[in-house]
Amino acid sequence: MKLLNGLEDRGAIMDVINIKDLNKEFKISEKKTFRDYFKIKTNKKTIKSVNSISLKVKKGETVGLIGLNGAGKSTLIKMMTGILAQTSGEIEVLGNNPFEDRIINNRKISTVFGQRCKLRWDVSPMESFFLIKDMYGVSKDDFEDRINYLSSILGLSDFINNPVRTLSLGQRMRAELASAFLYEPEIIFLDEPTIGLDIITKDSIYNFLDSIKNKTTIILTTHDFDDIEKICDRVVVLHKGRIIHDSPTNNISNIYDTKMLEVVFKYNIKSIENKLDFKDYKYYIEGNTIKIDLDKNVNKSELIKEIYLKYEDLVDYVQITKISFKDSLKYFLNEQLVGE
Amino acid sequence: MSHSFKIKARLIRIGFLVNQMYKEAITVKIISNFLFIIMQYYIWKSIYTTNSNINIFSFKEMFSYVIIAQILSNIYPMQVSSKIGSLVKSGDISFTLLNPMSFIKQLFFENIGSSIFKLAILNLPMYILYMIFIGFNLTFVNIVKFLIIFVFSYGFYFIFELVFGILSFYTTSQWGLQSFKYAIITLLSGRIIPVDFYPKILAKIFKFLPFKYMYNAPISIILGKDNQFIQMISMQIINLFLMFIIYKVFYKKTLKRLTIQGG
Repeated sequence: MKLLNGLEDRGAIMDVINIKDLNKEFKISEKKTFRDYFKIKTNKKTIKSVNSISLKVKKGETVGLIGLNGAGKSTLIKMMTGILAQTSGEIEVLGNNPFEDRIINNRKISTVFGQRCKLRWDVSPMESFFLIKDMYGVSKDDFEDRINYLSSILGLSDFINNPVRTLSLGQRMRAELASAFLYEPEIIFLDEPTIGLDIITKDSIYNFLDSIKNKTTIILTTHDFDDIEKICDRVVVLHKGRIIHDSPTNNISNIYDTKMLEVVFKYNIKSIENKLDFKDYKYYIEGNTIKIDLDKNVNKSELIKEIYLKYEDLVDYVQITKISFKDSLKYFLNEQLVGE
Repeated sequence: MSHSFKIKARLIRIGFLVNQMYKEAITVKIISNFLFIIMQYYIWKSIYTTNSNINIFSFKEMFSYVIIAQILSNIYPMQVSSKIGSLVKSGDISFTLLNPMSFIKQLFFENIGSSIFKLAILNLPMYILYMIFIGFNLTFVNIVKFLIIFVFSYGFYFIFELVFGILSFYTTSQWGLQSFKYAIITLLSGRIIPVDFYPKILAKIFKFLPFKYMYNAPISIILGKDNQFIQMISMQIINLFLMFIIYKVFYKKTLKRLTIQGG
């Protein structure tokens, strides 16, 4: 019996985040007219920001949360970190209720919010780092090792002793990121960590996250699809408070046919439409190009031969392309919007 | 060295350093202190020359009062409410919940560091001014009594600031609150005019309120004008306790609102 309990415990630890039917509603007061601003009792509207979400995250996973503005990403992160209480549903982070056991979880998790500054504004990042060291009880040796490592990989040495208010956005973000790893968090929440950063800074952040990947569980929200593709193993797409897609990152481009035959014509398709006949294929038109889906049933060489024979004087060239991660995600989100 | 002591020392150090960073601001603050003292000096001088029957304070004592009030006002943690207020406005306040040590506790120790800086550096010209124009007219016993009273006053002031900071949750904007706070302090605490100068009924009411412990009570003690030391201390403990309860109730309510409605 004892052994079984032990196994169960270990099972619980494997899922570092366990969310079931989570809901979050906000009451928003509506102010439409000039008069509404003077009313004491305003019309309250309830908005469902997170709508029955279920999600499990295993230890060491790197999960990207994406979605359009207002999809509920930040609300979800706030609930997972315990600074926002859910309206209904269950949520468990590291085996604790994040809201009620926030104090316990605070020592085990770490957060970086791209638009907020956690470092002390008036003193140097180093001074804030020392404070974090003492607050999280990091030993002197560990601290020195980590500072050396972080400052070499994130290039902090140039500005580590300058007041935070004098740092540029990129420098500040790198320092923020370092501050999140001075202790050993079990989960790190990154809310748009690369917002407004240049490519070089982004690269140093990607490199760093790559080096800690699989050791620490990473939850990342972003609007930048490159971030997801470079960092995350798994993508969760949120839309209007719901999870509409959850799969390994590689699979995103598989939502759509991986390959397409692009037939580029010399003329605008509209002017020659009556001469063309692609009834047997799935295709769509983009300017001078017809993009034909190449699923398993299509014989590529036959098709290309056929096209050259039939439309020899109309076709400019033909190429086979793979749909990009970015595009497929864009199409996917667009489809959701159109589908409503 | 115990672990929590180390954190507190670190926070005090940061509070101290933050002030040190703004040397120009300190210079300007010292100049404005002098201007303020000069203004009050002439106001009281004209009051004392036109009224020969003021028996509450002698003019010299009054001038001591003015300088000590200025010294105290420099030390008190005045920025706490506006700091919380700006966090409320920007929405960053809920992120302070992610700290492993309570944000309020951090704020307290940082302010102690800042007060130590002001006590040691910003107030230096005030001490010199006092010695030149008044001389050393304080007794050792009165200074000790004053220090004990002041510790409680400081705690009370801090919680008072916290309550005003939290109130900004309900007003979102700060400017109304800040001027209300200054009005309370200026009128009721004896910051500018000692409470005894008010008409009898008002003075009685003001003496009943806890705000006089910010300026009027400690300064009266150090100048040897008030000997009810034990009574004062017990009243301060009660006040501190009540203020703390008010703060806790407000804080709990606000925290609930913050974590349900997201600020």
